[in-house]
Amino acid sequence: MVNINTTLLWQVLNFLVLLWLLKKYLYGPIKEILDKRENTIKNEIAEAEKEHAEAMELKEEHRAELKRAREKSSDIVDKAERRARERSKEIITQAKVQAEKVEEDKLKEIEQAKVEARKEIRDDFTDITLLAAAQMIEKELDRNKHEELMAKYINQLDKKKLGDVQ
Amino acid sequence: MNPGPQVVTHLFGKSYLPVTDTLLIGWLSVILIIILAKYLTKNLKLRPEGKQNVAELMVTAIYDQIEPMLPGEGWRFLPFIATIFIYIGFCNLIGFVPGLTSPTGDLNTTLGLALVVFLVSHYEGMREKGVWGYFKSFGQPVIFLLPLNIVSEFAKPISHSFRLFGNIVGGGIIITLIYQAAPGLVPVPLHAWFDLFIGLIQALIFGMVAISYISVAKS
Repeated sequence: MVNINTTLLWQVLNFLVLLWLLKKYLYGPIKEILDKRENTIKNEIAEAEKEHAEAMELKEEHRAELKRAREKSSDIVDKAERRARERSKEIITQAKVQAEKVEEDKLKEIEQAKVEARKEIRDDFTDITLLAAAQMIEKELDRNKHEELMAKYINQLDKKKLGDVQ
Repeated sequence: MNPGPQVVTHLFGKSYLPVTDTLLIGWLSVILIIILAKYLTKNLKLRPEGKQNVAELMVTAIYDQIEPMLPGEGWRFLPFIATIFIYIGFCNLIGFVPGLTSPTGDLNTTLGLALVVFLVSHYEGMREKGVWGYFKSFGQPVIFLLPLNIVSEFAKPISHSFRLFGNIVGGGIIITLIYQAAPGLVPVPLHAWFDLFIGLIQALIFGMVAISYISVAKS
């Protein structure tokens, strides 16, 4: 039953052939795929870390940009408010100026009307005075005197009204 | 009872090249293992599925046995140790098939493999410490232990091979006896025990002992 013969060498050869073949068909490919997977996972982790860092950077950037945008928008609102205030002040000033001008114009018109009224009153008064005077004088003066006076008066009138035409 | 290895034919008709049934089943095992390996590693993908998981689990499980005992050299020793596991395991299990006997039930197989482990472990020892340094280590811790150390070195392949041989042959003898004493369904669970369980355990032990011999020679 226990008999050592050439089978021993054959079995060693079998073992070595199997070792060689399995190295080629089992261990080699399995080791290769395991290494490949390890590398892929390592690369993917590295990639993910990189992407995470990039994302954080982007987030930071966006935050800064948002802050800037907010500042800018509040700036714009401030500016617009300031401009509106200035504009309203300007409008008020203009309105005041206009109102003053209108007032002045009206005052001038009133002054003018006053002057005209005064002149009219004076003219009327002169006429009345003249009429009254004429009536009084008619009683006491004769006709000649009257004509003389009339002429004188007319002359005066002409002088006053026509000026250089004479 | 298993009559032991029988000479079936002679290679090239030469009487000094006998071909025993052990050898034929050994060749059959090699062919089946290669077909299985090729099938398992066909179309490997980065995302393993199905049979690829089996192949990867097998290789990495063996790697996990080697790495703690030979740190950093797991992949270097993997082909050698894994082939021992797979070949012996397969040879033990093939005895489960009616009409076939386990090649490991022949001392030629187990001694052959034990001698390969013996040579590899001494080669690794010399590679690690240098030839002189390795031989010097036999005289340690004290020089008078030298003969004992040498004897224990030669005892290693013998115990290594006879352990496996004895377990397989012993299992076979017991099952044969049971067949004669109680035929029918009684031997079926015993087959499971001796061929499947003992077979796989002995393959594991043979491989682990090989790792430890190499590890001891290197340290």
